[in-house]
Amino acid sequence: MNMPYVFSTLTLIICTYIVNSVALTMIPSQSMLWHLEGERFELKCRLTGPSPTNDLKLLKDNGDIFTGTLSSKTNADGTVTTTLLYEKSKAELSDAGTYKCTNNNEERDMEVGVVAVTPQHGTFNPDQVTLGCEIVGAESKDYSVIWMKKNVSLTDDAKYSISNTSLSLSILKPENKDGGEYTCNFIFNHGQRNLSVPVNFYAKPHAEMKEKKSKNLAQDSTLILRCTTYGHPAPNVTWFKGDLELEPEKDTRISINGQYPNSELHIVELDFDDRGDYICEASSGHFPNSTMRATILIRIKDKLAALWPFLATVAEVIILCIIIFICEKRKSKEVEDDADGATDNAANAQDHKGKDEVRQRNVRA
Amino acid sequence: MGNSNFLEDKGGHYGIVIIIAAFMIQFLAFGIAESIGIYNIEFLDNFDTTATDVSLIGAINIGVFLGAGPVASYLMNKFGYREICLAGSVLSTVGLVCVPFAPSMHALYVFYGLFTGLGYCLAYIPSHVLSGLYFERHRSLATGVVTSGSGLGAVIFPILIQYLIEEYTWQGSFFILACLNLQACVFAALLRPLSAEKIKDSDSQLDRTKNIEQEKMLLGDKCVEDENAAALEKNGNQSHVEETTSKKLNKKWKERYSNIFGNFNFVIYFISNLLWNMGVSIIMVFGAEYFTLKGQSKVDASQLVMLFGLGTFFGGILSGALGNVRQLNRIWIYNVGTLVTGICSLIFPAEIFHSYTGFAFLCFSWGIWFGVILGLLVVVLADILSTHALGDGMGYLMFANGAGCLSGPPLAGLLVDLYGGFDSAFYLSGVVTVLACIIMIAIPIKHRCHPVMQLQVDHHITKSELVILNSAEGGNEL
Repeated sequence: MNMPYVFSTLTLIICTYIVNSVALTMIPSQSMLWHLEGERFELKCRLTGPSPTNDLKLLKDNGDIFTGTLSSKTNADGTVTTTLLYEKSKAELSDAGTYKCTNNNEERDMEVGVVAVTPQHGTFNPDQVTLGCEIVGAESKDYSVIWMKKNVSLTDDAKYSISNTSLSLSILKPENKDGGEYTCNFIFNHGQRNLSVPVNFYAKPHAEMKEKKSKNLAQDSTLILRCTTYGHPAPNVTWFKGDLELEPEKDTRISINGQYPNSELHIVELDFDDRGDYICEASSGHFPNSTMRATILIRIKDKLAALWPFLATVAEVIILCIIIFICEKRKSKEVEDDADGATDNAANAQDHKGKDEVRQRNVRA
Repeated sequence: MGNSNFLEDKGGHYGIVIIIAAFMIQFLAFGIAESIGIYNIEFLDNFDTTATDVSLIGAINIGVFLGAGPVASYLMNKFGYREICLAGSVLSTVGLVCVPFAPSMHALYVFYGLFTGLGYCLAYIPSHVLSGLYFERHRSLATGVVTSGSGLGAVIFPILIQYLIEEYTWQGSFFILACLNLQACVFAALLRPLSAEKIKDSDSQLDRTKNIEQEKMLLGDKCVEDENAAALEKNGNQSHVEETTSKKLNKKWKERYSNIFGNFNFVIYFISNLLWNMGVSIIMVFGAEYFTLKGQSKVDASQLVMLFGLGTFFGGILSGALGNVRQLNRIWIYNVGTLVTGICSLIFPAEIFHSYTGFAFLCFSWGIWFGVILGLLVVVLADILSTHALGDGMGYLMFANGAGCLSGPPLAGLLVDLYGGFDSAFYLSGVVTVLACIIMIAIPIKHRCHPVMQLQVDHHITKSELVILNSAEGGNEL
């Protein structure tokens, strides 16, 4: 064989192939396509050439031939693009396989995988709760799994344990707060597809108030009670006073605000009638028989109750001060008397002299 | 001269009554002023406001309480100690009573911050100064015991207030506090003024002798005589002018002002006070938060803060007793107090102490040495200025205290924002307090340098007059 001849033939074949491969494309253009069962499934076969063609065919590895819709479009440079569109509104597991797009000259292949993921939800158990994701239609070599809760990935640690297949997540010694929506995220090795499936950890409704057992409030002040609830699905919060449900529509003083997990009850302009037990109740449709309540006793005190002791104290202090004042006056009088005493004697002596003389004068006269 | 008997010190038996009265006034004033933080959460709930605004209430109170010192001095010299103390007690009670009726935060700033703060200032300064004037030989012990009242207040009032809020709601608790506060009026009424001769006596050589001994230890013998000459010269001038009780304003205000601020020692002491107040206020403001941050529960943190008060209680008495000992120089005890307090502040961020017992130990020791500083406050002031200027000097000194208390926390807050974490606040506090100690060293240094030259320049006396004065003084020395 002549080397240059072989070489040039090969080059020609490769060039033709390359040139022609630009013409025939398959969309999406990955090597592998993953779909979730029930998703809309679409494959396109596209040929660009000088003129429209009817020759485009879509085949499956098991021999099925698919008919789709053919459409043509003229491009700016005069070539025509023919597109064969195959779509299915709901993918089925049986749709998985190798699809071939061909136009008698060449062919393109696409591997399509269809999976079905079944979430295995869990309900609260004080020892351990296991959540799982069952997958059909793919093998463990095709994907890796990451478990997440609220966009935070979970790893093997004291609280969480992920199985070898990574298809189960175990939550160890869970609390009520751990309830919520978890996701198992499948990352497929080929095909650039991620799949996120929510898995629920159902927890019974739980209500708590961070206050002490009872609270004293003054008349005319405002009552603010905060109730924190946990549970999955998010429980409904109802406020009660005794047996009566509190309705903001009926009483303008009452308002209930707050976003999950907190609920706030506001009552303004408290009066003595507002005294009693206030209850925050968390209930959930998922757990019809479990509701949880948190109670607090509210006592209303007279605003001016402590004013009377104050007035009494004012009186007491005034009396004491008067007593001290009188004592001080007496004491300073004593001191003055002592001091004056010395000078007084001298003065008296002189006085007496004068008086005696006067008396004598008077007598004489 | 030795009035070794406590009861026979200058003021006589009545001195005990003065001590009790001043103790109780400090107990009430500082107890309530330092425990106002407990109401923060109630104010936050009741008024629609922020935590910064709420903490401003306490800050205004302390600022006015200490900063209005000069005002209190002026008034008490004009109207009398007892009268002003009484006015202060009434004013502070009025402020407290109005708090439950306050419609807004601004009203609280006025009622609690201004009225009560000013009232406490007017009540505290006369009582504390008088407790110092009534004693001469035992002045240190007297003022030390009186100061420990503030420590006790800081321990008891938080517990009491918690109970009162529970029982009577926060509004009611203020009425009850006003009841307690009103008792200060009774104690104020007991503050019988000291008679004229007794105060004049203190300017005589009897007092000078004690001061001379103090100064000898501080400065070294050779400077002392010149100091005495200068002091005697000053006193000589003054006794001509001043005649009677502290009530009469014989001197013009300007003259007295320059008397006090012209005294180099006083200026140093003033700056030292400003510095350690900055440090101390930082610890008081950031302490509880720091403890909760480092893992203590809220209850534990408030208990630790109470240990500050308990330590102060014992520290006051300790310093009083130590100051009484003739052989010990009180200014040096004050220096040691500031130094160790500063060191304790610096140690707070150290990891080893970050447990309940560790913190408790640090808090208590800090409290003790802080109590030492407080207890010696008046007595060192009396050593630096003479007793007749004590009233004025106290006022200005309290102003320094107030300025320090107001500037400390914001500066620390700035550092915390810059560097994150509260450690920087404690470092600042420690550094500033140690600085307060170091700056006091300027006193012996300055006087070692040129005492004689100073004398000739300040007093325009000739060398011959100096000799005469020296010999006159020498004759009267014990």
